[in-house]
Formats: sequence, C-alpha cells, structure tokens
Amino acid sequence: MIRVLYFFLFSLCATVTYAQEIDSAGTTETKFKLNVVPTISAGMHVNFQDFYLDFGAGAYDQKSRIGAQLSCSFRPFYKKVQIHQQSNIIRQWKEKKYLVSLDLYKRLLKFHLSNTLNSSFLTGAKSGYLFGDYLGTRERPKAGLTINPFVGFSIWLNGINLDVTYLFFNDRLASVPNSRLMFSLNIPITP
Amino acid sequence: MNWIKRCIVVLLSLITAASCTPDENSCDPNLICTTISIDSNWVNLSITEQLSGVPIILYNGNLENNLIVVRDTLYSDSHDYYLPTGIRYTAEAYYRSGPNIIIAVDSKKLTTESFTNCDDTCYESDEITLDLVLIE
Repeated sequence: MIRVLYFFLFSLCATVTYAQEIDSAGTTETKFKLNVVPTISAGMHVNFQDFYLDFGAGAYDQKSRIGAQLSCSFRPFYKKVQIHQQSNIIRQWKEKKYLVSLDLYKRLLKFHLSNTLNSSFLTGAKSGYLFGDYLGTRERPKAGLTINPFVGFSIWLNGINLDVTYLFFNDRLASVPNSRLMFSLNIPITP
Repeated sequence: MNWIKRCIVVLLSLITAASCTPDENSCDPNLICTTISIDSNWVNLSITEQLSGVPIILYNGNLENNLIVVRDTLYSDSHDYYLPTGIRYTAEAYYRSGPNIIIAVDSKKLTTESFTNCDDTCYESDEITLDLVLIE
C-alpha cells in the first residue's frame, strides 16, 4: 500500500510540474513536439545489506524531459537469505535475484550547481518482474511483478547524467531493508 | 564532457583485453604440470559450531535428486571429504535455534580443468568449500 502511495505521489508531482512547463512554453504548436534521443545507462542500487547492478537502454524526450528505458538489474553474487518454510522450519538459502523492468522517469526543476554543472530533480519508478534462484535446489524465490519508485537528483556532466536517487525496492526479503541508494550514469546518444 | 565518454570506452577496452584467454599454444617449461587426470579432490564443509553437534547431509546434485553421499554430525567448525570431481555437491546443515530448526544449504561443483602447455595436457582442480555458516 505504501509503495502504491509513493508511486501515485511521484506520478502526481511529475505530472503537475510537466503541466507547468507546458503552460510556460505557451503555444499548443510546441506542446506535442518531441525531441527524443536514445539512451543507455549503467549503475547500481545498494544498501548496507545488499547490492544490485543495473543496466538499461531506452529513450529520453529532451523537451518534456521524460524518459523510459528497459532495464535489467541483478545481484551479482549469491546472498545468504533465511526464509520461513514452515512454522518452525527456516531455510537458509544462497540466493541470486534479477529484475527486468520498465523504468519511467522525469527530470524536473532544472537548477545550476555551478557555471558548468547543471542539475535537476529526478523522479520515477522501476516497474517489472522480479525473479531469482537458489543454489542446490530447483526451488525458487517467489517471483512477481513489482513497482519500485525512486526520487533524487541528477547532475548533467555535459554529455552524461549522473543520477543519485533514493529507491524504494521491495525484493521480498525480511532481512534486507527496502531503502536503497541508486547511482546511475545515463548517457543520451546524440549525433 | 566528452572525456567521460572516452574514459568509458577506454575502460571497456581494458576489460575486454583483460578477459582474453592466454595463447593456447604457449609453452612455459617452468610451469608445474599435472599430466595425470585428477579424479578426486577435497570438499570442505564450513559450519557454525554447536555444542550438541550439527547434523549434515551431503548430496550428489540438487536436493531434489536425494542422492545422499554422506550423512554425518560435525562437532568442529569445518570438515573435509575427499570426493570424485566433475560432480555438483549440495550440503544441508541442521541447526537448532530455540523452537526453530534452521536448515542451511550450499552447493558447488567440484571441477577439473585441463590446458595445454608445451604439448602436454595439464590438469588442475581446486577444492571447494560449502559455506553452511549461519547468518549472524
């Protein structure tokens, strides 16, 4: 429920700001013009208990500053996890997990950190299918759809966006907190 | 900045170069070469020590295959078994924790690799450790 509220809150913020930018643009002629560039990204999301690598490719509209990308995140090692199998039996597995997701994001409220560094806030969600496997068994962790909102800021390094965001990522492990920091390099491929 | 893109390209090139395998026709006369095929090696089980002992079961393949190799109770934090290579081993350790039983599982394949050196086929095999230590 909290996740859904987060998602709606971020979506609302994004939509409101988007609407303001369109209004300030003035004419309806410019309203639907797109300036889309392909993007690739590489990054990671971490907390003190866990670590995922993240790679993606997609498109970014420079006018509306909305982007979408298909991403693959994965834990690059087997992590010990404990799962309640029955009321008094706990299994300690070694688990690897993967998330294939569609990431939607928007950059908003551009501001200057210095003369050469532009920055903006960033909000969005990684929505996709989370699955995994355990070592030594055909049993698998519970897989399913998941929506993981994120919010943070982005620094434009004259060719590459360095995104630093808070990610609420529920990987269905009681021993791992849902809060993570996500660092990502997002590269628009401009001719 | 374009230098960042250049750095990424250089980094990717270095990773690609580093991942290249050595020349298959290489010859190093000083290399220690075991020409006899290695058919067995050590499987080490690492556990959290408990006073009453920790029952373990070692399986050949996955748990579901139920091919038991060894059934034992360990009283120290590690124990070795000398077993045939080329097989995946899976181990279970049974811990008592209050009213609960925690079953720790780990699995690895005991492999033998071969390579050619000065027209000889050399064999090497690394022992494996199955980590059944409980999460703290």
